[in-house]
Formats: sequence, structure tokens, C-alpha cells
Amino acid sequence: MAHSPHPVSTAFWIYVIPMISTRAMRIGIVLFAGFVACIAVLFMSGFISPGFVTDALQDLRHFLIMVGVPVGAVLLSEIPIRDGITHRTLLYPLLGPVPRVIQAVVRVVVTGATLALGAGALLLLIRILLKEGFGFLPRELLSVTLGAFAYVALFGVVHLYNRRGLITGLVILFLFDIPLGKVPFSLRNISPSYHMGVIAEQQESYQLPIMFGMPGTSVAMSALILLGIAIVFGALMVAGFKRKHLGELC
Amino acid sequence: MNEPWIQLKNVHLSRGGRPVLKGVTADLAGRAIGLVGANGAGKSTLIGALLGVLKAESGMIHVLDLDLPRNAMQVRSRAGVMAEQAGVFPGGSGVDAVVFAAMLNGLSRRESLRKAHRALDALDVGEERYRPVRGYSTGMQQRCKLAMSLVHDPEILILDEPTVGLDPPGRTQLLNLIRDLRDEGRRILVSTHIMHDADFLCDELLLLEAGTVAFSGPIRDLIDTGVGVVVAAGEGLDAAFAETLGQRGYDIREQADEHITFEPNQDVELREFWQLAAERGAEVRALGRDLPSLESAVIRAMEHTDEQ
Repeated sequence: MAHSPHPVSTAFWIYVIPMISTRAMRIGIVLFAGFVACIAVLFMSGFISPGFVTDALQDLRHFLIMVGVPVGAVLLSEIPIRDGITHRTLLYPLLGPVPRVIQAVVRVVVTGATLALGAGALLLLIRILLKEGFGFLPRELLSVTLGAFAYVALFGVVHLYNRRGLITGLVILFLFDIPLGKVPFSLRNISPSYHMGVIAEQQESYQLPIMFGMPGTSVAMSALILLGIAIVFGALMVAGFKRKHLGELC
Repeated sequence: MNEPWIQLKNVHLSRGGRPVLKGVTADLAGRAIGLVGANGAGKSTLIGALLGVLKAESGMIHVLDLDLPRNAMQVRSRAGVMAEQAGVFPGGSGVDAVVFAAMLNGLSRRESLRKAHRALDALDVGEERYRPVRGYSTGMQQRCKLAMSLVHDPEILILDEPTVGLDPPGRTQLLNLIRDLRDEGRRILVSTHIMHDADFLCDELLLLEAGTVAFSGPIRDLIDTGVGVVVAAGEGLDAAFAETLGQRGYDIREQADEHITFEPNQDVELREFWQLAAERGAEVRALGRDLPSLESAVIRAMEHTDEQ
């Protein structure tokens, strides 16, 4: 064969080309368009007071960082595995000449990057519309980027071992992760959403009658913890993808 | 005699603690090899092992002289696989699916597109190639999957139940296409439980029975075991003739209306038969061998393995 591209390049294209036709990607595009539509309506409606528009855009930003990215991750992280199993198309890459480890790493990285890019574009748009300047934007982008990779890796593992990964992921998110990130105890440190809030200065705490006065986490520490979650769960996902029977010939 | 391109030596492989392949040994050199056996005989497991997806606990597996699973990626890059369980991409056209398969095997997008059209042309897929795959008939989906398996010009094709789910015309059409690929010089391993398909396509057979080899070698060796059953018709071939023939060591199967069906055992040249016919003045009008079908030969081989 005259031309033989690197396996990473092959793994990238064989993941990206069919990705666009997946259910999760279609829903993701609808959600992204929904956010953009909300912003457009708020900004262009002459009959809404400017103060309300500003508040609404700020709420939208908070929602995007604290809920949008994790929900997007639950949704998109089904693309690397579950979608291919449902449509029985994962068999082609599994029986192809690209090593599974490369395929798994590329799948996690591309999915995380897609989510981070989408969320980053929306944050940029909100900031432009609010005319706030870009001084704080790097922290917001750091938050959604690290959060995207951490959640995609985490929910990737969920989708790998669970047929109902979407529902399980939403249950984990809304019953454990987000509530845990708001409790004023040290336990919140195990919640990725808490660390995303710390980095982007968007975290909220439940108001309890007792004040604990506990120290907060630093931005650097939160960034390291999110990175750690991304690496640990990413490695678990890669190991599972390499070893697990995923419907191939056998 | 061709060199074997699949070599198996005492291959043992278990799945979920259950032994599936139990000491499989075979040297297969055929242009088209039929991998046959009942459900659960180990056909799919063997294909998994031949592609390096499954690792044998012991034994040796060589495909195209490459040791497996160590050289799995090399074997896979030289093989085209049409898997029974594989789906086709729901969102794209036939061309998209075949382009995807080409890119999976390391071709550039432009080269993939060119080869995708060439593969679809070779399989007589016309304008349908631009329609979404989800609207394809089973026959068209199978053709699309076959095009996906050969788009990168593989040296070998591994086809797992290629005709499953097809109606008789669709089956015949696909079998003809596969036979053309064989005649073009491609080496093919086809897993099937339809003996007619194996008979039509293959020159060699690997018959698995409960994880062991019931037969391996040229199909004609399986069908043509000795002289086989002979049918003779003519005047004088009556019951007395049959009885005497039986006394001379023949195995008489049937005698009726001047017809005798018998197995001559060791008398390959039918000397006893002709001698007796001369002695009795019998007038033999027709004499022919009643060859068993591949299906009955396979069943007989499987029964023989069971008895052992």
C-alpha cells in the first residue's frame, strides 16, 4: 500500500465520520441550537428590560457550566461505545487494523473536545453580548474544558458497563453529583461539578442553619482534581474498551 | 498443491470457562474454504481467533504465515471481513458506508471514495448506492457489507454467513458474486451452515463438531470416500442376482424391478459384478455411482465424530 496514515489519524476519522449520524450528536446539536436560540431571543427582544436580559444571560451561563456541560457529557459519552453497539457498527473498528487502545483514547479525547468547544463557543457568545470583557473568560473555559473531559471519561465508563447509561448517568448527576457539590461539607470535594463551580466562580452552597466555616478549594487544586478524574476514568474507559467483549465475533 | 494459508495446530480456546475449541488441527490451502458445523460448534470463535480478537490458551495459529495473535493487526490489514452480526450505518448512504470501511483500513478519503465506487461497481450496485442504507433490502445490505469487506483489496476474505436472510434469487446472486471474487484469485474463508453454499463456493472444508475437527480437506475427499453406492439397472438383475452378489461380499442396499443398489466395498473395479452378470447372462443397461450430497457426507462425518 503506497499511502499508510498513522493509526491515530485513522482512528480519528473512523470515529468522526459516523459520529454526525448518531442520536446523541443530533440531540447535542439541538441542545446547542436551543442555547443559541435562547440567547438570541433574550438579546433581540426589545420588550424585555435590559436588566432582565443581563440577569437571564448570567443565569444561562451558570446553567451552562453547572448543568449543561455534565448533561452534554452524559449524552455525548454514549457515542464512543453504546451507539456503535446499538447499531452493531462498532464491530467494524473492533475487527479493523487499528489497535483498540488508540481507538479508545481518540474516542474519549474527541468527544471531550467536541463538548468543550461547544460550551466554550456559547460562553464566548454570552460574554460578548454582556459586554463584560474577556478577563474572566480563561477560567470559564478552563472549567468547561476540564469538566467536559472529566465527565466524558466518567460517563464513558458508565456507558461501557451499563446498557442504560443515559438514564444511569442522569441519575448519578442529579441525585448525587450536583446535590453533593452544593453541600457545605468536605464531601463536596468528590463532586466534579463543585470543582467546575470553583474554577468558574459559579459554585453554590445549600444554606444550612449551622455555619461550618470550612475552607474552600483553590482554583489550581480544583483544576488538578478535575484533571485527575479525567485521567483516572479515561484510563478505566480505555482498559475496559481494550478488554471487554463488545459484541465482536466470538 | 497450494501452500496452506491457514494453519492450526492443537488449538484450545475457552470462552467464559467453557472449552469451545478443543485441539483443532488443520492445514487449509484451498482457494475457498468452507467453515461448517452446527450452531455452537465453534465457527465464530475460530474466526475470532483467526483475526486475533480471541487468544487461544494453547496451540499455534498461522494465517498467511503470520503468527496470531502477535501479528493480529497485520493479518487484519490484509483481510476483509464480512461479519454476520455487523450492522450498516443508519445515517449514511451505501457509498458512505464503503468509504468508511476503506478509511478504516488506512486509505485516504479521496482514495477511499474511488475504491468504494469500484467495489460497488464490481458488485453491480447501481444508483442505489446513493440512497440511505437504512432503506436497503437485506440483499442490498449484504452486497454493501461485501463491498465494505473488499474495498481495500484484501488478500483474503472472511465471510460469516454471507447469505443468511436472503431469498433464493438474492442468495444465488450473492453466491455468484462471491464465486467471481474467488475466481479472480482471492482466497476466501466462508462460514456457513448452508451446505449448498459451501458446495457451490468451496474447494476445501473445515468441519467442526463440538469444538473438534470432524473433517478437514478437499470437499471431494469427503464426498468421494471409496467407490460409494452403485446403482445398476437391466434385465436379469433380480433378487437371486442380488443374493449372490451379497454372498460375494457386496453390501446390497436395495433390489426392485431389475434395479440393484449396492456398495461394492473393496471391489473398486466391480469385477465380481461383471463376472456374475456374464455368468447369469444379465443385460446391464445402466450403471452409475450414487454419490452422496455434501450435506449427507457432512452428517455422516459428524456422526462418525460423535461415535468416536
